[in-house]
Amino acid sequence: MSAAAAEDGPFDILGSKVLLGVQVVDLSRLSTHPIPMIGRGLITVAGQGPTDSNGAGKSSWIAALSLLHADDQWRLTSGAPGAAELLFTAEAAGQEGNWSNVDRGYIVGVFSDPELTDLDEVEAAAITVWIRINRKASYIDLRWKQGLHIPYGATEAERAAGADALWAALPHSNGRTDFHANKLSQVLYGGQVRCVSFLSTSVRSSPTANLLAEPLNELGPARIFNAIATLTGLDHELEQEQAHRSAEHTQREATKQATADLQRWEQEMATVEAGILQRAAAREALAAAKESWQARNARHLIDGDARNREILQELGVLDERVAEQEARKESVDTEIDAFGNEEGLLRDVQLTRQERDKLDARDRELDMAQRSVREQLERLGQEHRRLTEAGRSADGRDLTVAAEEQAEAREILEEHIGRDHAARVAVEHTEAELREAESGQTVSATQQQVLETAGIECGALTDITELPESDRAEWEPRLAPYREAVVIDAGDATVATTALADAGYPGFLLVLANRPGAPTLRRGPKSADKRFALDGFFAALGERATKENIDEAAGVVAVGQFDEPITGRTARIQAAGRRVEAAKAARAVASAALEQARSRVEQAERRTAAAQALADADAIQEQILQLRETIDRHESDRDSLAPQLQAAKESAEAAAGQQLVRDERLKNLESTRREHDRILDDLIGRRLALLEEQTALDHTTRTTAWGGTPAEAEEFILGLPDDAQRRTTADWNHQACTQLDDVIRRCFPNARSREEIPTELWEILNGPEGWTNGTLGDRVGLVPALHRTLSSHLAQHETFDSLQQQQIASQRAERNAALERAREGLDEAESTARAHRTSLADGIKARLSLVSQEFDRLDQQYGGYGAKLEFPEPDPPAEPDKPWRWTVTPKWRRSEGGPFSAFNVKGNTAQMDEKAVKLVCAAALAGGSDRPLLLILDELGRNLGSQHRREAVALFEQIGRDRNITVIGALQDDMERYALASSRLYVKLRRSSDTMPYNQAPVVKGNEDNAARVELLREWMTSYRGSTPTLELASPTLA
Amino acid sequence: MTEQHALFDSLLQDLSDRARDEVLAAFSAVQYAAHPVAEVQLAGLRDVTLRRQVQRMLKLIGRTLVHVDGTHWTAGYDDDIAASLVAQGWQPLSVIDRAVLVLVLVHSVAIPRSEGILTGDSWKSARPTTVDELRTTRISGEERRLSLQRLRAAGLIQLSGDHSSGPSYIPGPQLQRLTPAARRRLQDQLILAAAPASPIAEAIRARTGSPVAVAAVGDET
Amino acid sequence: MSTEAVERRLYNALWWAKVQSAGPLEVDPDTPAVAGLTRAASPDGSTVWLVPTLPSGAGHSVLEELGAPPVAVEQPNETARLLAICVTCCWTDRSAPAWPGVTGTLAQIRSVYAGMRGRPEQSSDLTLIIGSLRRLHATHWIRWDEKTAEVRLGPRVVTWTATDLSTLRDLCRHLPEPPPAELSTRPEPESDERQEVLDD
Repeated sequence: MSAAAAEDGPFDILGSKVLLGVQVVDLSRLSTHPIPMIGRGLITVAGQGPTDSNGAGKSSWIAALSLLHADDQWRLTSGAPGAAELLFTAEAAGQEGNWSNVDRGYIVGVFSDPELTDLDEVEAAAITVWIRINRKASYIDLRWKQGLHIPYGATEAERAAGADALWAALPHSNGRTDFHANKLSQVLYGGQVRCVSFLSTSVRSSPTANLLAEPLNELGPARIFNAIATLTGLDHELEQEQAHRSAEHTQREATKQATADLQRWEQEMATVEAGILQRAAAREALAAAKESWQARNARHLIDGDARNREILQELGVLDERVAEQEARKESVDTEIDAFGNEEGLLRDVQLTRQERDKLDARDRELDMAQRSVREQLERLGQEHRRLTEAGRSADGRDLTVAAEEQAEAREILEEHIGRDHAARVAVEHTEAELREAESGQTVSATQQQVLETAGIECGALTDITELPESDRAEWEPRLAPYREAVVIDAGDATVATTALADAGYPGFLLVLANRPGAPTLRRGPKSADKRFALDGFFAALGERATKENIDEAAGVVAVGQFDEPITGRTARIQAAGRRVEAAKAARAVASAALEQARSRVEQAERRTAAAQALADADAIQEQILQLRETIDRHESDRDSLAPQLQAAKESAEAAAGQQLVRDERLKNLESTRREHDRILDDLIGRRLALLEEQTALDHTTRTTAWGGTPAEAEEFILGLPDDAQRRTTADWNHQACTQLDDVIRRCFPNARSREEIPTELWEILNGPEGWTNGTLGDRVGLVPALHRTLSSHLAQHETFDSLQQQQIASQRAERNAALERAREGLDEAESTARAHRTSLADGIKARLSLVSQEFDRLDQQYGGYGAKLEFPEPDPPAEPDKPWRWTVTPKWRRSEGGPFSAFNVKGNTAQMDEKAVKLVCAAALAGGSDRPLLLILDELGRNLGSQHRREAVALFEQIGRDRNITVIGALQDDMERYALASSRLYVKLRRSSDTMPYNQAPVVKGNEDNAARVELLREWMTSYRGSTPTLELASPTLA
Repeated sequence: MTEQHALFDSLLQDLSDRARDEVLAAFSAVQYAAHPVAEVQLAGLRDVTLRRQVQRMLKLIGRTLVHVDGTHWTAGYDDDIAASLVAQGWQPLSVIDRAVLVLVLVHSVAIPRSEGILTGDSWKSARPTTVDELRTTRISGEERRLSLQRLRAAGLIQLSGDHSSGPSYIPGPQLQRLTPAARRRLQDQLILAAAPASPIAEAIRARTGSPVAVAAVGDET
Repeated sequence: MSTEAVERRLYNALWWAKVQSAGPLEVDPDTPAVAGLTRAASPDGSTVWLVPTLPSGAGHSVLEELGAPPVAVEQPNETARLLAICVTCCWTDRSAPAWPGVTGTLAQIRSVYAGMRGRPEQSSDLTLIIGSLRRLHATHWIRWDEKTAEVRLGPRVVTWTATDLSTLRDLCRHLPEPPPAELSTRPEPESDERQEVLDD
């Protein structure tokens, strides 16, 4: 046990103890009965399911044993997730209606020293290991306890029910928690291989092959070596070798890393150092630029000072000339003022002009009046001619006679208007009467239409009948029943009734007229229509009627009292029509008379108007005569005005000439004065320009920029070399700017992007009228600001640069040293790994030789013709992280004295499996340690012919006898007979019906030599009923 | 249970049961564990031969082993694959999530590093970013809350133990998955973003040759 | 290695990196196969999900054994409970694979949740349920449509093995039966079968 293992806690707790008994709870359908086991030799497992050997849970039970022995196939590192598939699952058991899945199950193994025979000693040395399988991760929990600690109870249910409590009573295996699958092998077996197995695919299958799990020829030689190495314990030494290689690899990686780091770092630092150098150069360039700028300022001040003195001199000269010019201008001004005193002349000129204007106005006024009178005369002449013409239609009557005739005609007209109006009223009256008569409804119009269409003359009875007003009260009731009736000639009766019936008027009344032999009536109603004589009809009605009844005989009463007469419409219409015609004739006569009276009035009015026009023409003739006199008067007035007007015009002209001469002189004088003003302005302008120039020289700024007096500047310039002394300010400006450009380029060699340049500097460079795009003048103005920002930028970097340079230097030393150290470490690791590998190779070869011998021996002993292993020593790996790949090629003879042929040469499968079993056994026998080993074979003898089976069984029994090896083999039906004889222990799992969720108690038998021990162990476990009192007493003190 | 795996089978088939188990366990641990796993804890990492297999598996799915502090391992995106994905415009994080993450990184890593409190290129930081420091007018409170939840679930940030001024965050374990090149890139970009005119930023540009900036000035000069 | 093989490797690695960074991806069915990424056709067949699969013995399941926990899920118990409820609601034909299953509703989930708790629904339950559904949706275990309040199983369920399904069947037998789904859209033919089952 190594020191490291001791620190990690429990390690290899079982050591060389072997499994003496096993019990499972809630795994597959397995029953919870404790099953005793034996320590070495062959154990055969048979099954008795409902129909054959399948379905009894052989594979599950074997799988549980392999898990208990920490078989790698369970993928213990990743938690053995496959273990959960061992748990009882209702669906898999066909019991989902009755049972639920279990969440956990247990494998309980009792281990003890195999040599002990006394039960008390066995129990004292015993360790009970519990593996709890969970359906969810972590899939495996491990606990154990000294002594026996297994589920107990008389029935299946009791044992299963007690399991959880027993588990809870066990102490945690790993402090507060339990060990999981990944520690199973370490804790129980010290990481040594304890079990090699082939498990049936029905339980689980390895994603990879192992020696027993696959036909040998599907494994490569490398995998065969791995398997043998595992069985012989070489794997631990190989792990050691791998650890050396890991160390070597780590060193190599570190060296590689250090080299790459250094290279990359140097590359990066090259740029950084270049930057630092650039900035150093920039600092020098900036200093030079500052010196140039100083010289420029000196030259600038000197130049400014010289110019200032020139300006002062010129200003003195200018002041003198200005004074002279102002004197000249003053004398001209005096002369001009003298003109202002000649007012008398100006007044005479004005008066003369006024007199002329007055006379001229009077003349124009007379002319105007004369023209107006002439126009008036012409207009009156035209009016006189028109009136005389109009007076001709007066037909010789004067105004008085014509007026009398007009009044008379108008009286006659008004009388005729009255008559015409009365005639029109009469027409309207008679027409209204006619409309009233016609407004009554014509009776039975449609039926009359039918009759007329049939060519029958007819008329409504009530229309035709004429009834005097006095007879209305008596006769209207009598006629009432016949109000709708129509009168026809008695001869037309047949035709009429047919026509009306056809037209759809049944029940319609017809009154027949013109019947022969009718009496004549003197009173009462009469027919108004000459076509129809109705006396007979009326007489009949009159005879039948009494005062009350209209038909005494029949007893009929009609209600009378009609508002309007119901008879005589035709007669009334005819009378009204005649009256209308008479009224219209009277109206026509009256209208004609009216028209005549009107024309007479019009004629009288025309004559009156003409007489009036003649009278007006006489009055106009009078006016014309008066106007002619006025014209004559105007003519004489103008003639008398003409001489005065002429004289006034002449004197006005003379005065105007005098004034013109005087204006000319004044103009000349003013022009002279303007000339003087201009000269004066020029002089003052020049003076101002000089003053401005003087201000622009800005002597103060130049002095401040230089920082001393002009004399000092002069002295400074004289101290410069000859060619520098001769430079102008512009030369210096140009030089300073060029030098600054150089500084900027060195500070920011790669980029002008915003982020990299301080904001202030960016503004100076790229602002409006900035350094980059501005004129030389703009640039010169920016020089001081640029000096300042560049200085501060470079100063800011100076510390950082020097710091960085120091860091670079120290890191360079450090990194080189680290690389050196890594190289040394690598050399050391390489030589260590090489040395170890060389000695290990010898060990491996020695061990493989042993296996080879054992393989040969077993082969010959059990039916073969001899076998061997070939194992060339591989080259050391090119890279330490590549595997050192050993290979083993098994070879065997196919016949007595035949040549060796390699395992992967075409051969039958049976031979493959047989040789594989022999090889496993050989490896186990040649193994370095005597630690127990468990070989598990599901379906023992699969693919083996009957002869090989017998041999295999014998072989397993033999290696179990010789070495500390237990072989557990599941049997197929037909193998029981081979197995029973040679196996030390026989276990038969039983389940008689598919309806049972769990198995029945298994049959467990030892062979002759072992029967007693098996029985003893079984009795020991089945009689267990919890912890012994001593242990129970001990627990309170522990708690 | 014997399943074929189209991608990994060719790598795994030559391994023994135990080796295969160790390799898969180590693969799972570096891929899916929240934090880097100790080298000594897993044979698949301890043993270089097995670790080589783990690395080969990871390479098949665009990942690579990342060594953390010299004693632990985790897995991150292979630099070439990450570059290809970036070139394709692949970006599973939303703009807001990225913004919030950057704020945490600036406050918890970039600033302490510029102050010299944090050294090396580690992304583990003890300086928490408070919710106040995450406040910005560009992201609403609700958006920030949901974003923090997503980033926490993704392991990109985690709650710091310091609750003295309300909940505060530090970079999550996922940042330890950055490869050295990715770590350097992220660190450089944080500095360039947070203080572009600083001498350090200038040194970074000088170091990386600042190809973008050079291209930008190319037209002007 | 041939150029083709190199390109093939790069193609696989890029897809794996995408799936690792964003979870299972829904892609056009014409996308060529990626080694190791199982293709799960979406219920309407218009797209295909690429879901990563690992050899057994790899993946999250082994982390606990290694003592290296993954990034923690918030409220793990509640979230696991809701996944179980979604399975019982959406996996109605338990003899068939879980993917794609049928659409379940929030009403069903709430009913089963209350039944599982053995008490009437409480106001805080809905917050817990929605929170868990969102987490499960974000991790692609389910597809949770917040608008229609409907849920389907997510593409990751295609990775469930026969053993997983057997365990889930057993689990479903212990959960309360969900009430019939009342979907916002046309009901699927499966719902008739379920009706029968419920009537029994």
